[in-house]
Amino acid sequence: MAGIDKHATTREGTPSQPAGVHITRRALLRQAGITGAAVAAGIWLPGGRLEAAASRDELRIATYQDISQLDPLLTNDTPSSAVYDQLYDRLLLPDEQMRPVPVLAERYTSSPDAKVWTFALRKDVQFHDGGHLTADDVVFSLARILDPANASQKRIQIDMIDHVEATDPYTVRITLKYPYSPFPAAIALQNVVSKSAVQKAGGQFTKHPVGSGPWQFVEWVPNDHVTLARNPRYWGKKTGVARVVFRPVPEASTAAADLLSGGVDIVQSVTAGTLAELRSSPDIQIGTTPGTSYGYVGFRVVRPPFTDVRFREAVYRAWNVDATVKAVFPPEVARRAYACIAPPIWPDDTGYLQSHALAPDPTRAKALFDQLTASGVMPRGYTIKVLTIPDYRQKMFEVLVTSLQQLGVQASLQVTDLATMLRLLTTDENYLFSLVGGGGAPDPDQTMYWLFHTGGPHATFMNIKDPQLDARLLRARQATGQSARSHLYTDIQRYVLLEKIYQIPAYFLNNTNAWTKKVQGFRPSLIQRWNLDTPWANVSLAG
Amino acid sequence: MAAHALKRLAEAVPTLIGASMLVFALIHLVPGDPAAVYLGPDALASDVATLRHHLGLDRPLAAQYWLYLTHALAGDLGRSYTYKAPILSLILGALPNTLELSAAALLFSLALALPLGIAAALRPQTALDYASTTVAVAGVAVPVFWLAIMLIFVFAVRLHWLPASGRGGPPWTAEGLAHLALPALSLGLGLTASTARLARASMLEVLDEEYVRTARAKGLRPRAVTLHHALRNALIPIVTNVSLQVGILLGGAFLTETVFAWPGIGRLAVDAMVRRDYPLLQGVLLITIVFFILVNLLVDLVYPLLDPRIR
Repeated sequence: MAGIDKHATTREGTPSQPAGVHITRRALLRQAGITGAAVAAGIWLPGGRLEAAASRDELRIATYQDISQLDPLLTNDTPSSAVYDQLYDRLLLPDEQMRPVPVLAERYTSSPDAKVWTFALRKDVQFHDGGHLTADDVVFSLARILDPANASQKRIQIDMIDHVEATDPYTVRITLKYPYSPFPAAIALQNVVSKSAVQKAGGQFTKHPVGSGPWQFVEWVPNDHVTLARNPRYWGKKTGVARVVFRPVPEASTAAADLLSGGVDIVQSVTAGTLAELRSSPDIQIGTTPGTSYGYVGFRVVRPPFTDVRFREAVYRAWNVDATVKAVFPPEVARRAYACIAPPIWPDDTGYLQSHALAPDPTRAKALFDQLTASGVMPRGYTIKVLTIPDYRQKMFEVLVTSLQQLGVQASLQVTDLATMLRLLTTDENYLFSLVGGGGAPDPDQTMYWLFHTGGPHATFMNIKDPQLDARLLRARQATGQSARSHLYTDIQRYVLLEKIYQIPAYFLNNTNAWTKKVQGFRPSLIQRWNLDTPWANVSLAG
Repeated sequence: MAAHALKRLAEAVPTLIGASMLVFALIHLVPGDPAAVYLGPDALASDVATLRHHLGLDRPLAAQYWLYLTHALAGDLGRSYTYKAPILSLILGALPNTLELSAAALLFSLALALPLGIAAALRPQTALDYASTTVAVAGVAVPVFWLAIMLIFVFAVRLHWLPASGRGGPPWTAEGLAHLALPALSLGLGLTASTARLARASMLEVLDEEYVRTARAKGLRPRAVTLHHALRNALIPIVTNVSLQVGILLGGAFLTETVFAWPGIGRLAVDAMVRRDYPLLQGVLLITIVFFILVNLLVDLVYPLLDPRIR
């Protein structure tokens, strides 16, 4: 390479113009003409072919990443579930108030102790291949998730199930290992697949998915698109458009450009960088719903000073969380959290938690740090290690680290990717970090249990082992009746956030989508799962 | 000729094994557990451990590499963690799209660079030369992703002439060509710049050679001298440069494919990196290296055709 470069540069600017070469001008002009024509052809000819959304009876959606699987057993990632949720029905579906409402199930009942749940199925449901949906399919769908050999990401959502049985062709009885009153919320996450289609596909079901949902599978070209078509056999209201195409567009500004130029009709994830431009277009609608995903700043409490609640209070008081969240996140992206459980999921204790939240107080923080140092809990010159991935959270932590440094406390920020961060959060080291929890289910149990119960995924990252808290979480999970459970969760939140300061509640992520005004009946989902068509809403394109 | 080609092929084997070792080591040195990433932050530690075992990630690194190498030599690059499909089929599905994009970029850049470079050499120190230099410097200086976003902004958002992203179909269809234009343009411009500069320098040098003078002295038409005697010889460093640029093209395709949502191996690799899909990432890198070696081999075989003196 170096030799070539030398070759190229040694003759730069040599003023040797051989005589008698004028005639090449014609050749050059011809060459240039051909090149120009080729470029123009590339630009002009197909230019007029950009179609208008209304003329195509096909909805195009830009996602941020390609799907990985279409078998719900095999993955829980958002891009995949956004597609397969259109293919497979569920027994229940959370409505816009986050109440699980019957879909495949006509009705359901539970035993008084919330341990045995019985679902009566609709009798008019057909799969895409023409087969009838029966209780057998429901039993099969749940059993394959529960089978540990399948290592399904979904297992944790329903591992309270002891066994599932079909008591008749249209009745499913589910017996739990322990009383679990939020079970409808857990079952509302599970898709029902066709047993015969899975068996027939022999390991290739993910390529030939068969469900009973309003959309049926047409094709998947990896990293290019997934196409679904209207299911003519659908038992409910038929879809408003004939086809829907999901296209992965990883670069947010490209997705925005696609929306602005009519290449897609809906953009699934909108970032701060593209908001201004989308807002300025009269043809674009931006919709935000208060999402339920909870971003917290967690303490990985392995040894002092992290194990000392005074240290956690000092860190909390050292920075202005309110101002930071407001400065870092555009309102479409996130809002300040004072609780772990995001309204509209109950209980809404925002009023109390906000008024009792630790206010920024650098003087008190400094006094606490000094106290900890004097008593030997915090070694002199101790460095607080902060871990973050390079997104909004990095900016958030830059403010925190600066605030700490202003108090004379040393803090270092390590920017890494999620994979590395999760690895470091299993090591024998104190860390301050931020992750997003909850948001998956319309019930407080999943958020709180996973965050704080010993062995729960997030509790493991924070290294929380609090038997008293474990007992309270179990009680809240097993109690029946929303009002009784509401009280229990209210107490738990106050305990973990105000008394123990296990974490600093930072933000709730909003769900923001953008779409062209031709799209009718579309609303961003409250949770990470979403359906284009539900028994109560249909998406269509205005003609 | 055939013996020469075979010898070069045989020499490529240790290079490949070395490259595979390097790729394997680099990927596994990056911290992060594919099982933990696959299951996400909301996973139980026990489930992560089970998955690690399933994927064979709990075995010693050397054992993992040996298994990988022996399978790879038998043509089995393993299965992707994410897609749970054979890696070779995933790559073979995406590779044609990358080649299509790279070839279009190369064609575009040569179509622009050669006339520019030759024109500049024939008229050094003129407005034409300065213009060509300006285009070349700009082409080298502008980052691919910035250029890509600007092109999208102008041609898709403002003018509505071309689609912003995606692959519309085969390149011989209008829809396919429309989708190909912007990514090929942004990928090709950097190459145009360096090729144009090289073409100019190389032409200037060759035009000064004795044999060109002889050709002129024989009374050949200037056009014949330029095209048949000078250009043909000037092409050798250009061809070498282009062959080296193929690697840069493929690397540039990683960025371009991401910005334009182009379904090639670059996207496959970037996704695999994010998802810590080790076997897929290894597979893509290995195939890229194989491809690079093959192109260089091909170039070696093309030299004699261009310059009889090499024969």
